[in-house]
Amino acid sequence: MQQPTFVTTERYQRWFSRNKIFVTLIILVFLASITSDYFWTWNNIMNVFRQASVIGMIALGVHFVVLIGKLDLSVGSILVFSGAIILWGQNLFNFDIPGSFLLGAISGILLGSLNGIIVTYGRVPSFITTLGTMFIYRYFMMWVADAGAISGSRISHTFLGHGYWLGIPVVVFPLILAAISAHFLLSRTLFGRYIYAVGQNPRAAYSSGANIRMVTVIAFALSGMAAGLGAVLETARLNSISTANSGVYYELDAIAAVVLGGASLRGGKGTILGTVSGVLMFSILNNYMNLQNVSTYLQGVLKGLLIFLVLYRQNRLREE
Amino acid sequence: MLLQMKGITKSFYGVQVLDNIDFELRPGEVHALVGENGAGKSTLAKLISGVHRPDDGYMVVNGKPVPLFSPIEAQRMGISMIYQESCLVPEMSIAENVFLGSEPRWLGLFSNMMKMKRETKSILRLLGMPLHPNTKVKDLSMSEHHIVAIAKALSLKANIFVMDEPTASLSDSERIRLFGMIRRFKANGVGIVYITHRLNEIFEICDRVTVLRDGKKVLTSNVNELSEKELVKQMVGRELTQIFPPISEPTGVELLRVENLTRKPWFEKIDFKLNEGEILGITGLMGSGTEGLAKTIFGEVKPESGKVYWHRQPIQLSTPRQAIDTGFGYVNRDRIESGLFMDMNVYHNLTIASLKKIHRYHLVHEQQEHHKALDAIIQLDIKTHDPEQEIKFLSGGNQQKVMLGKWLVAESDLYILDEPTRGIDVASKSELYVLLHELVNEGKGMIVISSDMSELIGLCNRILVMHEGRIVNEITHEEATQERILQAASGIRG
Repeated sequence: MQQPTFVTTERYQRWFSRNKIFVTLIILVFLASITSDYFWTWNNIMNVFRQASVIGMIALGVHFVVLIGKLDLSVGSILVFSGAIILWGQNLFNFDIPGSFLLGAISGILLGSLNGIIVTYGRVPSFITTLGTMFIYRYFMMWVADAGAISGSRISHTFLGHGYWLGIPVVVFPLILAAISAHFLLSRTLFGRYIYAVGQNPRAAYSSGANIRMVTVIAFALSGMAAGLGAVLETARLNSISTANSGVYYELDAIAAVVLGGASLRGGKGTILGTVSGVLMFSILNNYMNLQNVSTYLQGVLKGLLIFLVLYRQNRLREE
Repeated sequence: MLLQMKGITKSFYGVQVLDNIDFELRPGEVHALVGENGAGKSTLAKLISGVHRPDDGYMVVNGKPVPLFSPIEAQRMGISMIYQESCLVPEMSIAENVFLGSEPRWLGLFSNMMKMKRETKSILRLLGMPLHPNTKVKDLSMSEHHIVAIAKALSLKANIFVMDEPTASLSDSERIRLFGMIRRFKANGVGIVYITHRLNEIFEICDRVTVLRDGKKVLTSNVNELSEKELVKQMVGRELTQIFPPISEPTGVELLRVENLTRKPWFEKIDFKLNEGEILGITGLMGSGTEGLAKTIFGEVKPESGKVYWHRQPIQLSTPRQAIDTGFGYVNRDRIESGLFMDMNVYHNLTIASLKKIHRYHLVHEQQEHHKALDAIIQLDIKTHDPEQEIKFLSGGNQQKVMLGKWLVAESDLYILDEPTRGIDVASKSELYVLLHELVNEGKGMIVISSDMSELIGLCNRILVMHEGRIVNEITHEEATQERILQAASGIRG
């Protein structure tokens, strides 16, 4: 019989086969760099990161929900809800950046947990639940704010949204921190193990001792929290939030990035590196198209085609 | 010659699974394919049915060479496969499942429901399973599931059948009916590749046998020129002396007691006691409630009434989590649906139930994890190229071992094993029996639910026989015979 052996080259091979999307991203960067003079400049690359920050933050949260084989369509609305609360906190109570992050996280966790509780205890499919709360969260805020915009006034937030530190946009740092935390959570903790287990085989996870309801609620809470943190970045960039127009389609962009990153909508599969790569890929595509003066509308079409192309290739590779 | 394969070679992820295999199938013969777990039987079957493609070698089907082909082309060429794990659509009816992909049509457009139902009914009747063709597959039990999968394969007008463990979850009478159908096919010149671990079936139904060992062909021979002993020797590569280790005496210290446990309609008024160091067998025909009983003891299902005592203390388990924390381990009979995480690696599958023991501040202690998992891998002789490989790349028997390994890692005190040796080869089986004995000798308790008579008789101190949800007989090891168990299980008082 064969004793367990550990071959390093094989590990590299496996790493590459599991992170194909990352390799694809590198290729895309390379192609963009040789076809455009301006693309591979510090300023522009930082621009790519800055543009990716809000969707990136949301996608990191949605990643958890997708991992347990569910969907969260309410994140765009949570972003609006939390954004409004953050700006009120600034205007009425004079909260600074830490206060904003705290408000964003708490409001996001509450709204996300509500989704999770409806899904687990109400036994409503996540698609329906979050479709419902997508309307409720947004229209509630529109009703409160009379469908208008809420503006902020603090200079420190402008620094968060537009400033630079060590030549890197400040808004990128929370994203990096969140990505590392999410990766750590998934790969090192018990919760990470359980989340993959529940996603791959809920019945087996249950009989192996996983608390499926708790895992589900936490996953939705994390998704909400990420959307709340995304709201901090969004309000910092724009200094205002429009209850009617902010965050529209963000949930779909986030899901698209997660799926592009190799996660399976049936759950149990997907890495943070993949999701981050997916987000960056969309951001690069937009950026490159802008540099090449392609119409914004056509960009949307190309975005859809990119999803088809990458997923087609992935499925082909999986079959072989 | 229906099928001819020459020099077939196949490897997965750098591991050679088949090495230069020659294989042929004549019209009207049942050709058995045997070997230990991981010998390459299932892979060879999947090559024949077009699921995998060989790296090297060629295949000739019905006199035509086939360079590369897919499952659909294989079906078109008259090859039909019954898989070890059936894949049916739960939300569809039996008839729709049987004819999925090959629906008889009106004007090439509308599926002919009447004809589908009629033909499904007649196939099911031949298999001795008078189910209504409109029944949804999700409402079927596991063995009914399997029958439908067999019916699906048989409904195709094929002249080559590949059957991978077709009798694994069938009762005796269903098996006899299936053999009847096989004989009828044989008479019509159909060839059948028959994969099995049950040696007696080879001598009962097969004409020729090909033995694989570690991906290589050992021999092909006529069945009547071979003795059972010789066959086992060829499979294992050495002589097997004794299959069951001697039964040891339990200590007499009570471990588990179940009183008056009821969960209708599965079972009612179940009473039994399990001592430390005892192996208790539970058996019964399909629908006798054995599976439900196991699930209830493990806390997956709440009982309607009755009490469970653990070390003489009454306990109430409402989730598997509590059962695991108490020291229970449960090997489910269905490894795909509720046992394993196919996209997780072997380590993670082994430790998933004992994460509570290998963490610090909720961080998985990987060194401890690998240590414990490797212990189980070595103890159970799980054949894996690299434990960080996903478990879906392991053979069925090795996956089964991982299911048990999960509870070894969790250091359980009570093992509830539902069909623990399903799909495991002879040599691994006897190794497993030795291991089970080692566990009970350490004072652990074991409940073995099985439909394999020789396993029950050889392994258990006592055997409880269930019939329609009640325990109808308790047979000690000394008195146990196949007839007695079967008689009790079918409800005949004796």
